[in-house]
Amino acid sequence: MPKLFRNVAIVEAGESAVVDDLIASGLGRFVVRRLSPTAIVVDHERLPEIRKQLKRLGQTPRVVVE
Amino acid sequence: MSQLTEEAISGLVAYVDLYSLATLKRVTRTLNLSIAASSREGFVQGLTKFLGTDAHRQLLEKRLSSRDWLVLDVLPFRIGPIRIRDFVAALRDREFSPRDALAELERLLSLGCFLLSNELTYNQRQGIDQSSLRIAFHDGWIVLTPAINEWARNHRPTSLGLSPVAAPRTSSEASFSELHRAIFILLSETARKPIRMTTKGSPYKAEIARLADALAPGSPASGRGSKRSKGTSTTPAIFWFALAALIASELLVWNGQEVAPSADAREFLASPTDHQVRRLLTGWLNGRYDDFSRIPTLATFDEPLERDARPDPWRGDDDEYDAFVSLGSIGRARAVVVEALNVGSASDRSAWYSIDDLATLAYQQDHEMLFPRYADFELLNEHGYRSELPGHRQPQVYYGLRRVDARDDADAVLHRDRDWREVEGAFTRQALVESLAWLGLVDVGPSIDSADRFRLTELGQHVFSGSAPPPGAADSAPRAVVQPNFEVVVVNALANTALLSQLDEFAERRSIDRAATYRLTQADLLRGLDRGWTERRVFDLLESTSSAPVPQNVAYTLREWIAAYERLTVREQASLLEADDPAQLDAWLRDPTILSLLAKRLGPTSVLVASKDVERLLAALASRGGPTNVVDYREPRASVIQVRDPDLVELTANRAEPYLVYRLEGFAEPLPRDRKRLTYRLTRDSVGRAVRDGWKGPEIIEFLSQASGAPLPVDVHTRLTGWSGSAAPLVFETLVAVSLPARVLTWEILRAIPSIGPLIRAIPLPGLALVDAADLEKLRAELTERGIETRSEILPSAALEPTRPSDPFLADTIDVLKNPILLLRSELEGFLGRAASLQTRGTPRR
Repeated sequence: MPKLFRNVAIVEAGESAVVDDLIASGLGRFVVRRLSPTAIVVDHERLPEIRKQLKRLGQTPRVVVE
Repeated sequence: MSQLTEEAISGLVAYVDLYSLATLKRVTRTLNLSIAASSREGFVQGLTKFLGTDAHRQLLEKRLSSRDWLVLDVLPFRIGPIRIRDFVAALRDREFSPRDALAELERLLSLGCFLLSNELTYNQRQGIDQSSLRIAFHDGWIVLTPAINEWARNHRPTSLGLSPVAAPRTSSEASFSELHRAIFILLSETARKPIRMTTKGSPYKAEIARLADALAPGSPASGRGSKRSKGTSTTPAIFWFALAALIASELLVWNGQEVAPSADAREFLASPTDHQVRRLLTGWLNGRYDDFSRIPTLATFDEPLERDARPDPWRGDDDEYDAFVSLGSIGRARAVVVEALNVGSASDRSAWYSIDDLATLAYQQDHEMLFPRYADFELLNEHGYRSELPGHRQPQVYYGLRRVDARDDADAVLHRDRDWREVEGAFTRQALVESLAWLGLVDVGPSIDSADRFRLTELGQHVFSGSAPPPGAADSAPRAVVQPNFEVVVVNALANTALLSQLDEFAERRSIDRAATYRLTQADLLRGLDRGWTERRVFDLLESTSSAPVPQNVAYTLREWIAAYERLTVREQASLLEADDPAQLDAWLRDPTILSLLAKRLGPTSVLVASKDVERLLAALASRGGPTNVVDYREPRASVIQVRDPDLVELTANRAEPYLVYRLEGFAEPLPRDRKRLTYRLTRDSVGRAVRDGWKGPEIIEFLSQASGAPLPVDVHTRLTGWSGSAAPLVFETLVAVSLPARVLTWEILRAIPSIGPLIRAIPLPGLALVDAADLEKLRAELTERGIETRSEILPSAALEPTRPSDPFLADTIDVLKNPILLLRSELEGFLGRAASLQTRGTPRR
């Protein structure tokens, strides 16, 4: 049966190498699952830590809040 | 044919609809209109179509006398709705008796020159006969019919104009720039953070301080970027003026207890200067700024004489209660001054005029411009009127008002008719040298402090007469310089407020004066990108305003920042549709209806869905193939797992949803699974790993409890608490338990003995003491000394645990026996027996 997941947190990049780097650099423990080479579902309850981690890694992502 | 605007016509309908049917018929008859109407709506429509038209004008030209036209041209009538009482007062100053004034009003109402403008009693239509006007005397309002104003002007005697005077040698040239700067900063600051207002309509003190700091000369907005000196601001009057004008002109609008920029504030800033001034002029006329309190030569008897020591020039709702001059009166006086200025300078808009002459014109036109002169009964009393004909009128004082520079209290008092120049005249002067000068409409000379004459600026001439706007007034071409140090300087800032408001969205404003300085920073640029700015828009703006390419290093860095922003996207609270397999998702994407409800495809089986489309999507999927399972991560799943002692967690395969699995694997080890069930084991290592990843023991416990729908089994709970480090280390010490079974003696009693008390570490129960092993022998000796023998044996559980008898009376008796005083009494009553031998239990020291 198809599933619709609501209030999910997703990190998406233009290139898979970016996602691979993030996972290898400490974001991996927040990954719920990988949707594709360029998109991962992350733990929505740990977004503050995820944002801090991204900032530590020098990332300045676009944040889209539905 | 009506030349009235749509807005004026709809206002007309509202006013005419206030009339009773009898009144409608009467006005219709008086105007010789043949309206074939069977209902009042028909009369309302018919009259509305006629009033203000050329035909109406032609009729009035035949029917009205020159005296009637003079009445219609009375200045206070032209500034807006006026009370019936004020109409009679104005005509009284023009030698109309009360009876004649009411008769005149009735006549002009029946000819459609005036209209009633408010409903006195809910849902009750009004009449215009004199007895109805008397009833409505104090609370009824009237307004000139649109277009009458203009027609009456043609009958105006030319003597109303002011006579030009010589230009002063020096003058203080008005400039809109200071007010313009204040307006821009207020709008910009409130766009960042709305102003919190009290329930009385005044800004909170913290908000005043914030905004006054932003307005301070040389101050960077919002306190960013450079040092601010402490204790900077007393709040300048122009702040209050700007705030009042912005709110009254609806450039700042209410949102609960806050005010924030309106939807058209940006458009306002981009509009030509003359448009901005007109709107702010209207705001000033209707706003809460208190010009009267700014008159330096006047004070009330209960306020400080120095202007700087007085409260701020702002009228909150709670200030009106005991205000000397009401805000409504101040608004009326402002309108009278503006209209007098308009009328007085009509013959030569560029000339210099005497301020005194203007004040005289305003006061002659409206003696009640600031203060009522007559009580209602005086205005309605024919006898009273006759006894107060010119020459017999009694002088009155301006109660509560005083001269600031008076020699003594007697000299401080101001009298009506004699001292009006120091009150109404001073108000007129104050409006010119401050409010109208701030608006850039008048110059005064020779200086602000000693001003005795004024003239309209080019901007003022345009606003009052519609002449061509001054050069630059309608020019909004921006100019800026982008520097290699990432600063953007906007030259002639206040002529480019549209540009400033755009830069505010993606750059940090450092300062604003004649020029404005911004700094391009990554954080501010990202803020702009979040608001919808793109690389192209940013570069287009910077390059078009500077007419040059952006410096190379700046361009490179900006592009880097933008690329970093676009490289990665974090979506929060997103909705994700998961197909059973790629083919299913492909099929959905080929279905036009479903495709229109889907957003970006993220993987072979995953696609984003906008929140607004979720419900429709679910309905569409249901209609095509059956239900879709909805999993909301904001709502924790309950009763989806089972937790079993001592360390197992199980869930059925059909409930193995990815986030649940992720959470379980975060603190438990997966065991080999079968088709139907997933099993996890909690171990010291797995829980330790979770803790290193940032989880806390209570969080894991709460998660498992929630997911299982039941409290955790005790051993699981205990293991999680211990392995997660949530339990503080337990502390133990080796002591000896000494039991005293006898009820006649308790440890509390024995502890009172000086040589025994220090040997007892604790008394957890009345009959049980804990003693350090090193003190045991000494205690035994002390007890033996007193005839109490001891022996070592295993104590029964009963001696080590509290017990309560089932008989509550007996329980009370035991409690009583703990009390030594009561014990003594019980001894007297025969409860004493021989002291039972004490039993001891010891454990060796570690």
